[in-house]
Amino acid sequence: MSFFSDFFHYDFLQMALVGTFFLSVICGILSPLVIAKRFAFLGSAVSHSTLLGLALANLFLLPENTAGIFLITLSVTLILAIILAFLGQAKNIPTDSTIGIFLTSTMGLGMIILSKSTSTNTELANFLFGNIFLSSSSDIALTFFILLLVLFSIFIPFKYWAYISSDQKGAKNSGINVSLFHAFFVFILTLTIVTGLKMAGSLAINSWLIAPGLFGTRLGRTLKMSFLYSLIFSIVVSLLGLFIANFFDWPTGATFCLLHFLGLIPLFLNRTL
Amino acid sequence: MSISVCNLNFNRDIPILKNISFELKDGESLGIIGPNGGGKSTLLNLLTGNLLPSSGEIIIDGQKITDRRHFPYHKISYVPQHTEIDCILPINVYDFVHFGLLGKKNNSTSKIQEVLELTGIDQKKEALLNELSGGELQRVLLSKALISNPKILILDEPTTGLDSTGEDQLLSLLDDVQKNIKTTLVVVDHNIAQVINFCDKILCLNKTHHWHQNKGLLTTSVLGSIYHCEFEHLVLHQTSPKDKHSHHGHHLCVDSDHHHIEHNLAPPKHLKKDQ
Repeated sequence: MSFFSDFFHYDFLQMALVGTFFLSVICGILSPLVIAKRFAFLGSAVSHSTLLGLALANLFLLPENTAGIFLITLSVTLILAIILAFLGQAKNIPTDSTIGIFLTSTMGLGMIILSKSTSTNTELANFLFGNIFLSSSSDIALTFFILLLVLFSIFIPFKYWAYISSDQKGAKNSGINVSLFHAFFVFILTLTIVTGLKMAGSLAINSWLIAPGLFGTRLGRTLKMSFLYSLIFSIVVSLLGLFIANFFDWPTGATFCLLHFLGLIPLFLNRTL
Repeated sequence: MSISVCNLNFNRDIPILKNISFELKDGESLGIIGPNGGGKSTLLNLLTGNLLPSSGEIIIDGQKITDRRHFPYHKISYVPQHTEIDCILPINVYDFVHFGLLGKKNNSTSKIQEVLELTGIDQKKEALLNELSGGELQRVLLSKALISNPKILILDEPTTGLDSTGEDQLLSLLDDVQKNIKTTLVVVDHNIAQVINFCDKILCLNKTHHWHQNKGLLTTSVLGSIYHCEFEHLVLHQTSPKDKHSHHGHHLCVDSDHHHIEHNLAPPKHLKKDQ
């Protein structure tokens, strides 16, 4: 087993390489907005609530029906994300408390349903950390579609996203439909999380949506540079994680999480950033 | 551009605003003062199209506001409190001021430098928002509001977090802006003395209880009836060049049951703020 050459010889590794690259670009672009909109905890809640969707899908469909499982998981998670976004706007309950209780309750319900199905602990481990080496061509195609959607929907109205993220009230009073942008962002975040679930797992996709943005927004001196740094961090760390996971035979999702943290250590140590 | 508010009511289970009426002509300024929870922010939200009245009329430039879709957003600029700005993304002053053109009909960037010079923040156009002081950030917010050449400028507590020098500088800047651009101004602020000195008209607001007349008629007893406290040490001061007329006679104070209470007023005095 070698660090690089395996990727020239095995199809599944090439598939994993392409999938990792696409997912890292998507997360590299979305991540600064997740940080700016203070959606890190919301993203975590959405990624964990996918367990409920996955459990329901497993209850009704055979494991071979991957498209069906994906659609049910996506639908259930989207509904949960919309409910969460709606509850989060209630002023009488602190948002973090709402998200915290939502996260635990949906995961709990998912676990109860899973306990009554034929799923094994291995499937739960896959849910948490995923396995990008099991990516199929349909996973790659779907990830590519989301990549295009993210590129167009974030970069064309780029200034609108930046405006809403920094001055939501001002943007609203300029006549910009802030609620529509908010709903679309929750949608695209959910789509990314559900798609990335099989490839990266619930924990890793969450880390992928936070770490690059944190790196980019702390290091960049301009808007464009912060997105560029986020993108570079996401791609470099993800590809390095894939090579390391393959070389040492580590779980990919767990490796991504670890490398994201290691990449952020300079930020935590340097107080000027 | 004129603003006319007639018998405005706003209810949320209980009445929040009751029978508010005032009129602002083109280029005039209105100062809204009152205690916390008195309905100032609700009134601002109604004037900026975020809320719709339960009854009554808001007419902006002859257009009655009936729904949010037809609200004249392009004619109005709103300056939020600087504490509401989230500086996580590294946005510099120039880019942030540029945001003021988004969603507006006139989106030419040629005016940005001119506006930055007017507000005195042009030296810091490359600086990031999180590197600015409260006063500087307020100037940036004002620049963003002015860039679209608004006919009406609405400011929500612009002096919050500023020291007394910063307050004076900002209000002096607003005075210059109003002279240069001839925009109609609505200012909500806690600094009673500053607002009374600065604005042409005053609206004192405490829930369903309000007072609105020419500011020459405003006395400490009126303020006391609105704030429900004594204003022994506040001396109303009228040295602003805008105060060309003196007023004698009666004014009306409307209580929560909409009874008009008449106050006999002494002729206004030219007094200075207590030091």
